[in-house]
Amino acid sequence: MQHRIPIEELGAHGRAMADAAAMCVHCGFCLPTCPTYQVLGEEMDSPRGRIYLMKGVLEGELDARAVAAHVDRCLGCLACESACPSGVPYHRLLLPYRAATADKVRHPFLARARRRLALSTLPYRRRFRIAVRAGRLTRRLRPVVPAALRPMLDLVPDRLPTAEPIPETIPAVGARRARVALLIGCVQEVLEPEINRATIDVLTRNGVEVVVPGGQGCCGALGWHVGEIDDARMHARRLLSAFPRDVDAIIVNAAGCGSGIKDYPLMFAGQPEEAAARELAERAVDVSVFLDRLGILPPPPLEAPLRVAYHDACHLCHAQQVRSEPRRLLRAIPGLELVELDDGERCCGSAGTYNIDQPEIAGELGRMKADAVRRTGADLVALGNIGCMVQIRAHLGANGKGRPIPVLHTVQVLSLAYAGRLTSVLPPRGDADGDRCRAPSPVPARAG
Amino acid sequence: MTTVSPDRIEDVVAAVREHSRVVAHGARTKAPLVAEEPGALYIDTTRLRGVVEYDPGEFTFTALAGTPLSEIQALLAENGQHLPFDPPLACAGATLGGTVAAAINGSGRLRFGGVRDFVIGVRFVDGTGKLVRGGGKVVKNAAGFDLPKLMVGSLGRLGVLIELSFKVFPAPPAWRTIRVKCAGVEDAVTVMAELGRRPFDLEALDLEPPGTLVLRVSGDEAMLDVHAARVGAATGRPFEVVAGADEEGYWQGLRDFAWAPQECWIAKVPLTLRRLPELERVLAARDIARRYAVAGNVAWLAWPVERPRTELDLAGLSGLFVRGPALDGASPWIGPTNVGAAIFARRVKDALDPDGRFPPLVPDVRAVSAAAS
Amino acid sequence: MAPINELIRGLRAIVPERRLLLGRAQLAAYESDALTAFAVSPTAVVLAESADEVIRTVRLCHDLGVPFVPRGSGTSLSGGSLPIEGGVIIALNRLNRILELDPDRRIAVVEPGVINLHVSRAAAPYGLHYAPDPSSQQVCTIGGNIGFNSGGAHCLKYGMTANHVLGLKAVLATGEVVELGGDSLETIEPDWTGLFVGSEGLFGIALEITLRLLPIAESSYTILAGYDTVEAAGEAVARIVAAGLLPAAMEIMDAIAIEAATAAVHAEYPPGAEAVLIVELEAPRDLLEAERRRLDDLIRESGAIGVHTATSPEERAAIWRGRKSAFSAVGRLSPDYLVQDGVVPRSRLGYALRRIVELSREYGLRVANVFHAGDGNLHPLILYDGQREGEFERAEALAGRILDLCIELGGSITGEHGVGVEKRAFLPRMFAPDDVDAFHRIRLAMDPKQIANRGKMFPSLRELGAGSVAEHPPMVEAL
Repeated sequence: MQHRIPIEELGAHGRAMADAAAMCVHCGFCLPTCPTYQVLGEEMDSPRGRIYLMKGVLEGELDARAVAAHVDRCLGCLACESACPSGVPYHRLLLPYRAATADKVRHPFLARARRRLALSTLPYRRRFRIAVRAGRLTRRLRPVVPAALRPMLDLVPDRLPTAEPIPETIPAVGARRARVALLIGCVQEVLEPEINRATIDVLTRNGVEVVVPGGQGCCGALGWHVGEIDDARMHARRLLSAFPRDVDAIIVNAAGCGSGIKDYPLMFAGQPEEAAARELAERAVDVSVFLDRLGILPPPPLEAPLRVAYHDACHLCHAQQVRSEPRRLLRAIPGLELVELDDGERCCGSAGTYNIDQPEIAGELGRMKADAVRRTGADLVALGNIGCMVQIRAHLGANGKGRPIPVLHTVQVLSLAYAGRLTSVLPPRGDADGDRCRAPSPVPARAG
Repeated sequence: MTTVSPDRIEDVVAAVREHSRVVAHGARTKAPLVAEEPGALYIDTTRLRGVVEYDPGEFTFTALAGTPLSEIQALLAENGQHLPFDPPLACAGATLGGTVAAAINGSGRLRFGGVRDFVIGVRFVDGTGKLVRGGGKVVKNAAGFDLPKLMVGSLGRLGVLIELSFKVFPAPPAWRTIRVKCAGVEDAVTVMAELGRRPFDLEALDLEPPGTLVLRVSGDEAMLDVHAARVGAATGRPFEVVAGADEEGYWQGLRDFAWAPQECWIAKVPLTLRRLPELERVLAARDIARRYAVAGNVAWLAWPVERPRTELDLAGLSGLFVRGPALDGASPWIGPTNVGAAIFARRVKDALDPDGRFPPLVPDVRAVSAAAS
Repeated sequence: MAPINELIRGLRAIVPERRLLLGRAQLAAYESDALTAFAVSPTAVVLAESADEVIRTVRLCHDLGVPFVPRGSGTSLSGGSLPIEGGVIIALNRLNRILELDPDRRIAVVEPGVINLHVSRAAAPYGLHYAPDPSSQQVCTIGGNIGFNSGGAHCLKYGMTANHVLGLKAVLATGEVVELGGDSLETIEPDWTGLFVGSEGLFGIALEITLRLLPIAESSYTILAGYDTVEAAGEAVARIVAAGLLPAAMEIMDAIAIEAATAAVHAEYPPGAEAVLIVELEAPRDLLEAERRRLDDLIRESGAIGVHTATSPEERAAIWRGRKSAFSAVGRLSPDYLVQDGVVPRSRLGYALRRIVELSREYGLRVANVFHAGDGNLHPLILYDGQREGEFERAEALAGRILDLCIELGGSITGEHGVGVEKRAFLPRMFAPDDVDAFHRIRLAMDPKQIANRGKMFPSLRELGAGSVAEHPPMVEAL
């Protein structure tokens, strides 16, 4: 598409944004795959429309404030990138655009407060724990809490799991085939620490030594996805020096973080850290991809057949084009029947902090995802992202509808299968406590 | 009644321009459709004939409107091609123009479509005496309004057809007919509905009331019997497969309306499976010769000339007398007119024939459209 | 034309605020469709949700003399849903219900905003499908298909949109609601429905459309053959047709299109092929074998340098994905392009392609070729970079020369995309003045105020007097 974007005036990101807009031929193939277009049915809330509007703002033809609501509503799910025949790298326009226009658009006070609150608690594990406990107390005051802040309250879990701290090095079981570093994440380690422990369990069982460097924090994806680039870079810089060189890969087990790290070269374009950012991005790999490439030990057969629905996290399937690896891993478990969800690649509504910022759309998408899950008759949902886990659990449990369906990370499924305890995860018939179902901790692999 | 029989296009144009009321016709094989307009000039187009262009490699031809179907079919057959809409009355001398103007298709149209689906270009003289072209000579064309389709079924009321271009298909190498014995009409309708969903590529699906279904399939000789047997078995009813001269003869007879008694009018009634049982009840009660074709999308019936036409009850459906003696000024339409289309029809008529040179579309369409607006 | 305030007041009485777009940014999103060379901002966009809202909006526009443009998914390649300055866009994408689907009568009654592919999806459980398959079928709407008589790869055997519409209900530009056709395959009146389909929105807006459904083919055979010249591929097509085979589809892609599709969807093509031919046969199970053998023989004799045969539904889908993504995939090779849609008699395909190569050299622009070889429908994609001085004008001029070539060879200026804005200057080159006059009389009878999709199909007065070379059609136009 023709454009008059003044690239030179837009700094290091100018070229990336202009090139992305130029590749778009306005064909519209992205429209049916865009969740917000499906829900809202208007051109401004479609990828094609957003590209056009962002282009207009960058050209100086349109006011960023007039366009803001539509850009805010974008989930960043990148389903459009998967659908686009021209290969438009939509995220290379959206994310730098959000960063570039953050100070031009003045959101309402409460929305800004909410954003500040999220960015100052979620990335910090200790603060987040405190905030959750405070949230539980504040829940009773929900009716008097401003509407803009209520979605945050609604997502606070009832109780926080406790877990043993992770040692710095966990040796492989048996002969060592590889050595990796693990990114433990921020929110994930607080809300569902079992994911990291299961990751370590599965890796070590398969002969991989795992190093968990201290001093890791948030990867910065949360801020990056909403245009808070300074905040994002601050977190990312810490990570750039956190990982040792002598590992075969840096394992990421949260899709949102994996895609965030893949964007580091863009995040640091024109910055002194650009080379280091590129290097880290190249070394990072999703746990499912690493395990699939490595070749895992076959898990023992399940005690009883289990139907598992696999949910594609947007930041795995669209942002990183990872689809077949988790499926192959799950299918390696004898007795596990893998089923697909209708419109499986449609976002569940989690999308970083989207379910806090845009609760109506997120709610609609979450409902649609939960309905799709129930339609498969699955006993369990497997996925690869903490945000999706929280969102889908909340919607599966909503209104106490139907029988409870546990939601687990792919590595948790593998870990339990190795221990012969996967079927024990299922609630006994008649248990209505849907979203309270939590996986029991994996049995730690023996060293030596 | 003055009739002229021009053999050149410019003479047809002149005839239209010089007269205030004009009625065009072909070989009059569908006499009820030729309007009776006292004082009008009748233009007989049967001398305006001849295939103008035909390239077998292109699968298209262009011919003057008065060309007999039989001439075209013979030419196509020499090149292994045919008209997929299976037009009837070729033996009676029907012309290409008359077939288009009357929108008359045979049972064989089921598979690929009717006249409207194969006409790709038209030249006609409109009511202002202008020679107008629509469409073209190539099979894909989205330029301009689709005047070729508009002319299908226009019965000479929107223009005098001069030249027509068609696309054609390869003629199948072999045919089989499958006769299926159903318990009665309701059973036959059930079987037709199921057959219609199966990917059998049926060329025809007719019903001889009360319960005999007659199907036709085509293809390479080698596996055709297997295919035909499979289709028959799929009905779950007793069936037999027919091939050879008798098979061809049966369908040729249909094209000549051989099943209809002498001295009758033949009417065409558009239909769907949903309304078929109802119509059948009404027609059976009157003991009228009839058959159903195109998977229940049309009923053909023969109304004896000695019975008053006003007695013909089509259970609320609309029909058209297409063959038989002339109607002496009476309307060939039976049953209710399509009120929903009246405004649209009126406007097209006013655009193409503002001075009313050609017969009216439907009697009192003006009154009908006034009532509807 | 009435003052804008009166228009907006009237529109506010029809749809709630959130479905009446008036803001500059919102309107900007609707400025163009898939023909990005032209962009015009409308005065208002109405996001209709019911036939009643559409009718009332049309009536208001008629009363005030305000032009309107219906829009589905905005995927027209001829500028069919380009807004008119001062006019209203009536967005139909939310009228997306399938009102009825009857497997016994094999019909579906749909609202205009239903996506083409969704009709087939809904019909699939009954073993039925909706045959017209434009490459954009996952996003284009039935309403848009009706407006432009859309085609697709499979219309060679099964026909275009018009051949699958049995009837429709529409609101005319003057506000009356008409019902044309019905649900039967046979009729006893002129083909009103056939006239409406392909009328490019100049008569009014279709509100309910009765579509014909066909059984899904039982077995198919899809092959992809590579050739070292486009002419050789064209020759193969001629042989197949001459042999009396009637494939369901026959498509050719040339080297540039192959390059694009390979990059876009990782399609696999025989190495070294300058052109590929895709042929698909569909037949009942017992009859496919004979056809398949004939086709294999013909392909073998045609000198193909490599042949892929689809041995599974996934492989068949992959072959089609490559072809169907070709247009948009070309976006990877060039910042901009113009898609053309000319038709030439099949026997002149080779000649036409040679001429296009000569013309592309003359104008210094690359041209990718994708086409429905079976029916002579070419889609030259003229690649250009709008940022470079004069390149757009050269591309348009080249486009005009190609259209002239099609007319000269006795073909058509458009096979399936419609005239729209893009080719309106060429209508008088393909049709004589009396023909265009007849079209015009019909248009004026339906729409005396010329408010329905004004500026489409008919050339502007300036273009009529412009002479033989197409000028850049002005974006603001009143006849």
